Amino acid sequence: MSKRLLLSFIFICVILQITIIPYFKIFGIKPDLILSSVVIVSLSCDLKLALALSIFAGAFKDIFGANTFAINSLVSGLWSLLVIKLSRRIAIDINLSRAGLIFVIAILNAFVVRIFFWYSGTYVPLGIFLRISFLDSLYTALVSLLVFRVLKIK
Amino acid sequence: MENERLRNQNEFLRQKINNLAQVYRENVRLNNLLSLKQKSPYKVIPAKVIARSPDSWSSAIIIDKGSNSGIRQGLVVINYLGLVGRVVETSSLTSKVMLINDSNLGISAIVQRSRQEGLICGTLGSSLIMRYLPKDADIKVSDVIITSGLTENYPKGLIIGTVTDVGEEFSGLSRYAIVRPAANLSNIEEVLVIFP
Repeated sequence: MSKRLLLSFIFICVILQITIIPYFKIFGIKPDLILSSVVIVSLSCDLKLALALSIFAGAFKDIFGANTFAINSLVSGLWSLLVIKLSRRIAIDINLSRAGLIFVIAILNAFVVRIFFWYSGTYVPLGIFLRISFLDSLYTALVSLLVFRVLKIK
Repeated sequence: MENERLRNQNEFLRQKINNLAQVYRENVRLNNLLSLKQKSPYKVIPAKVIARSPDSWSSAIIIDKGSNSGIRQGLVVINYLGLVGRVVETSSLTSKVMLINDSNLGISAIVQRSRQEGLICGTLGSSLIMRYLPKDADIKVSDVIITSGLTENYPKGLIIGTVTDVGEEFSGLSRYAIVRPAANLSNIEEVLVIFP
């Protein structure tokens, strides 16, 4: 995919995430299209561009989210780096393995957010944390399968 | 040919009915908001919701009024059903409102019937939790919870929600109540920002 196309893809994901996706909540959980886009971008382009686009996507998440610290900008870059390093070692070329990777990244993301909340003094009860982290990751992975189909990624 | 024309006309009229229904619903919401604005003893500014928080770890909305309209951090946001949240960030044209179901927000509240005090906290879900209720607290299902006026900027008496369940904390030292917010937080379209 070209740079312009990737940038448009992230931008569309962000717009969908802040406008339409909240209406598809299940048990208060919504899929994270931005995280999916970070993984897809990381699997489709070189390191520098993937990092830049991932930080860009994370920044959008921070702008519209309620957290004051730019946690998403930081971790999106980290996930991008992780996905690129991993894709060089193992083949992630079927949609199911890509969705599995998105599930794992979403779980890791939830743990990082939990640690951040802990350090910033925000109390998220364990039950709520487990509910959100597991269901959110599962929902994101399932929706990403749909994204692969729409983008015709095989 | 005639069939085709009638089918097109039918489609057009169906579209028109749909548009009218949407206008009607918007009119009802705006009327409710206007009547609340007129009845309200506070100075309020109406605003429209233009975006929502992108992740499940925070609960926030972006409204189309910012510091140019006099909105500043800490102001309380309501709609015609009850309390919605609090302004946490402003730019010149937009503001970010943290909703009451965000886990970062704590509001001092009382039970309208018994005046029992507690702290309302968000659960990042569709309900809220009222904590720090003593073991002998006079609270029961379907009690209405309102703001106590003890938290800065929150006027006393704003409706927060209704009690749906009462339980005992794991420690056994206090009780908690599950509260369903009066405002449907996942479908807010218009809000009012209160100036104290």
